[in-house]
Amino acid sequence: MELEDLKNIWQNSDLYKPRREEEISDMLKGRSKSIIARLKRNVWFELVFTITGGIVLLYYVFSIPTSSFRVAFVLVLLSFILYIIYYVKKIRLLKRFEGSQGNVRANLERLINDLEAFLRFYYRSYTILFPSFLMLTLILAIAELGLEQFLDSLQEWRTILYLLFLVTFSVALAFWIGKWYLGKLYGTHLQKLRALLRELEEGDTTM
Amino acid sequence: MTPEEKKFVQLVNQHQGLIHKVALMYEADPEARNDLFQEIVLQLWKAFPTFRGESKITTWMYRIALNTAISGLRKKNRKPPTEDIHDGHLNISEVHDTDHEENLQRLQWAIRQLSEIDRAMILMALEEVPYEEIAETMGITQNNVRVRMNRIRERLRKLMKA
Repeated sequence: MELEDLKNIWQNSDLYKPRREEEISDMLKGRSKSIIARLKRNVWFELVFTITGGIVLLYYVFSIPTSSFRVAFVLVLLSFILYIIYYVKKIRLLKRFEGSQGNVRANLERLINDLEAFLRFYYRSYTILFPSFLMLTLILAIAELGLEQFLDSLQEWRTILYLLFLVTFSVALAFWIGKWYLGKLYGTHLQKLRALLRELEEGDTTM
Repeated sequence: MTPEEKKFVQLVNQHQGLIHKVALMYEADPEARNDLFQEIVLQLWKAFPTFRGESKITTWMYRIALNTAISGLRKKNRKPPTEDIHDGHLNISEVHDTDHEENLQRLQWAIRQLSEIDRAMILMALEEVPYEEIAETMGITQNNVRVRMNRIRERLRKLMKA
């Protein structure tokens, strides 16, 4: 069967049911179901949630009389600020995925670069997050026990070893979980995009 | 409806066949196909303000539609690509002779066995898009298009006979 025959079959068939103008117009009011659009919506939700939580916490910082609690709240507030910076950066990275007007090859190259940049940022933030929380817990313990008592408890080898084990284990776990989680979420997409680009480039390089 | 919206809706209405056919090439499941159609319309609408008419409207539409279908990060198909010739159900509004319908279903099944890149190229070829425009849309050389088209044609021929 030649291409002309295939064209004949293709062009002489009613392949679809035409949509009315009203239906098309209604589609413009709909929301995108793409992964990027969903991710963006989720990050926006988290951002608004963090800002609201931050405002509530700020109110408590000034209304609580106990100083140790105040230190704890200020520290949590600081972590909230870091989260806000993280979410804003994430939204900016996700925005780069928009706009697919280039040719298929250029679009694939752009998507691969953007997805890699997004994953690098996501992974780094994820691995920084865990040690930061450990640090926060340590500072809270110092605030609760007082520096002297805290240092006293560090005199024992068993406590030091226990703390070292806890830090090493949790950081290693964070690295491993981060890598596994991101690979599971986006690994397949990245592989697929790379394979598509390879397929397109193959023809041009073998010419 | 704003004048811009009206202009866009008319444009999509005029070329909706192109979007339907791209969706048909990439999704066997009617619900997923419907979602893809809507996603393409949304992506076109987002890009519409920046369309300056430097390329043909159909080239611009093909680019966005194919980018959305091929590389757009969408959810995985609810249904795996069809393996059965009669699985790719079409919206055939008129009654065709059995032979023609069978050939069409076989062609559709054969196309779905191709890679996503090859599907894009055969779609444009079936729609009689010139090789120059196919090369421009895909971002490859015309020579590459020619070589690929020969390979695709050969593969389709075998599949149609199978």
